[in-house]
Amino acid sequence: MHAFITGLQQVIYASFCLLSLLTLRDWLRHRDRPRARVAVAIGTLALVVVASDVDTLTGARYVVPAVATQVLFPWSGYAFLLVRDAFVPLRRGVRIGVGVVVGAVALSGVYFAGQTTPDGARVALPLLYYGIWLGLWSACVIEPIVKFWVVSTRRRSVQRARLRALSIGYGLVIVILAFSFATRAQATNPAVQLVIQLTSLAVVPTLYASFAPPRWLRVIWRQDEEEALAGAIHGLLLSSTDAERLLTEALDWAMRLVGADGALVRHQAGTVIAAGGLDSLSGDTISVPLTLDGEPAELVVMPGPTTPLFGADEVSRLSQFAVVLSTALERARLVESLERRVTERTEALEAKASELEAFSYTVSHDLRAPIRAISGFAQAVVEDYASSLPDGARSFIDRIAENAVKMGTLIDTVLAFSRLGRQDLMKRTVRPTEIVATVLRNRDAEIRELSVAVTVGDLPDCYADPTLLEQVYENLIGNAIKYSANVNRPLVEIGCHDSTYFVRDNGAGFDMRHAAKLFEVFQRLHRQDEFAGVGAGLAIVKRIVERHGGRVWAESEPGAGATFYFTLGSTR
Amino acid sequence: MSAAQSVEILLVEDNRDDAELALRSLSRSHLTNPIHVVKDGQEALDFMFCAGEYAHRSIDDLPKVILLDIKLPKVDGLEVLRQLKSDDRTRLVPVVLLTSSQEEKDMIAGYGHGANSYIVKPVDFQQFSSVMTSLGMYWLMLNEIPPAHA
Repeated sequence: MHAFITGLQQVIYASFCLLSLLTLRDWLRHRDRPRARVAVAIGTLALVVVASDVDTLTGARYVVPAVATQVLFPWSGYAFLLVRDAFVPLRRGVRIGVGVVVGAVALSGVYFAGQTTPDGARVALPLLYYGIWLGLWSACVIEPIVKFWVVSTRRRSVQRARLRALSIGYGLVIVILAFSFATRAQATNPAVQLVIQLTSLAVVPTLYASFAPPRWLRVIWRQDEEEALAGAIHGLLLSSTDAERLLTEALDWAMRLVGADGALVRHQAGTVIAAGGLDSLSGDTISVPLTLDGEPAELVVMPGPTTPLFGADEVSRLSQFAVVLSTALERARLVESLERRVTERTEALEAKASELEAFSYTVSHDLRAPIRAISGFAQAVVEDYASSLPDGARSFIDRIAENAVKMGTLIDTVLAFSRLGRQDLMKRTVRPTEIVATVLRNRDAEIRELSVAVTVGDLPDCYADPTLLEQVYENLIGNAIKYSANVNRPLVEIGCHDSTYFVRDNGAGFDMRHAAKLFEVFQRLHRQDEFAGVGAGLAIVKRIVERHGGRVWAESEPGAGATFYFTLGSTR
Repeated sequence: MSAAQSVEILLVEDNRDDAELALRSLSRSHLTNPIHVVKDGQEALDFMFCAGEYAHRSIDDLPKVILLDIKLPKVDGLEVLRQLKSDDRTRLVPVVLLTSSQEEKDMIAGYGHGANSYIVKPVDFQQFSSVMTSLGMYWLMLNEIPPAHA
């Protein structure tokens, strides 16, 4: 057991030496203040371990290792406080004040270490001094441990893990000291020694992980961010249409992924396009290629004091991220240009539409004036010269007047039809029953005169523009009456089945072969002398129904009546 | 029309045919109120505000009603209407818009500027008469139209 413990002691001793060499190498490579202080802190801690080990091995006989332990130990705590200062600055007064106290304690340690008994052995340290000595060290170390932990809670996953490793590493040293102090009576007990040594051994990898985490550990630390990114990537890269926002968010993700403190995207020429976090390049940056607006650019991430060292793994992960980002940026750029083009075309289309509207307005106004003159003066001739007109002349003049009126009606129809296409729908919940009742009331005289039997079934409420729906019923019922006027017992049936409204008559009907022409403007399936009309009614019905998102169709057979069906699209 | 006689109806109409048909319709109904015809918006404004060739007129000598076409050369009917209705001296003269169609746009814009009524062309006496009645200008008919059986 003793041999094992001694062997373990050697391992710890070697580990601490190795650890301090690694921190030294790390500092030599980067030469920045935080790393210098980490190297000093770990180095002094290693020296303390070695010195106390030598002291123990030599049976505490020699002054030099003892003095080294007494002097170095307080300073190793202070060095850790300075590490904290490099990451999270302390006030200057605190830093200097604590330095003076530590210096005083170290000096008094030299005094005590120099005291020897007459037989040459060292005098045991007074308990009070021992307490101050440990207390000071603990204070210097516990404060940063707590501080690092607190700061870590505000950091992203990778930096958080690194700060915590630093906290835990020093926390373990505190535990060892506290445990040794508590069990100092059983200092030679192998079990106690074993616990102390195993814990000491655990300190080494923990501290090592804090300043130079190995690749596999960084991958584990990054795992949280990778998972978060996986959840966010769809929204970030595939549905973002704003390239600028996309870049800002992507920079944030790039920093989170590798625990960096700054990131930027710049063109090859050096122009910075977007930046996040630290604004000046410092330390050991990673730069990966990126494509921005079809041109080569680069994504650069910068480490901060609490960033672990970047390795090949971070570079490849960022390159991968940059490829996806390039694609997303390209996509956002396309979407942006597409939107711009759609806007431009919509504006052009709207301009055309209003031009057309102005044109149709002018046409209606200007075409009407000559028609007015034709019918007005035709009438004037009749009024003023009726007695001197031969019969033939009178009938020609009447036909001039009739045609002028008809032309006026056609113009009105075209205008009404074009108005239907542009006017806003004033949709609300309407009761077709009431609308049908109004239409029938207006046609009451006609219905009675032709003795048309009208039946109205159950008509469910719908969501529509009431004025336009009335126009639909007006046209359909008007047609039904008109085309059934010649049959023996005219019958018009108005109803609804499965949200499909219908108007049925037993009149002339039509050949289904011509059904396609039925709803076209100015298309008629009957001759003017059979049934009068300009052929716009059903076209208007179709336009209204389609503007409501519905559909209209008809079923018929010549001589067997016709049924017109329509739907009104969604209920809302 | 003599210069001395007060104008009772001002007809603002650029279309020769429309103006003639309107005058014909009014005269066939034995409406003998003095009518003055102007051919564009600027002339209408000059007449009302006694400017240009109408500088000799007195601004207090207001017509009883203005029949105003919407589409006019130089200054259009709606602008004439706006100017008449925004001037305290002419604000109270009833303005009847003559529209070429029932295009709601004209009507809404016309009423927005304070038109008192509108008539769709060609102006027939029945419609004119009913508009006058609704404007409360019975006297314009009653005084001037001889009894039907006179």
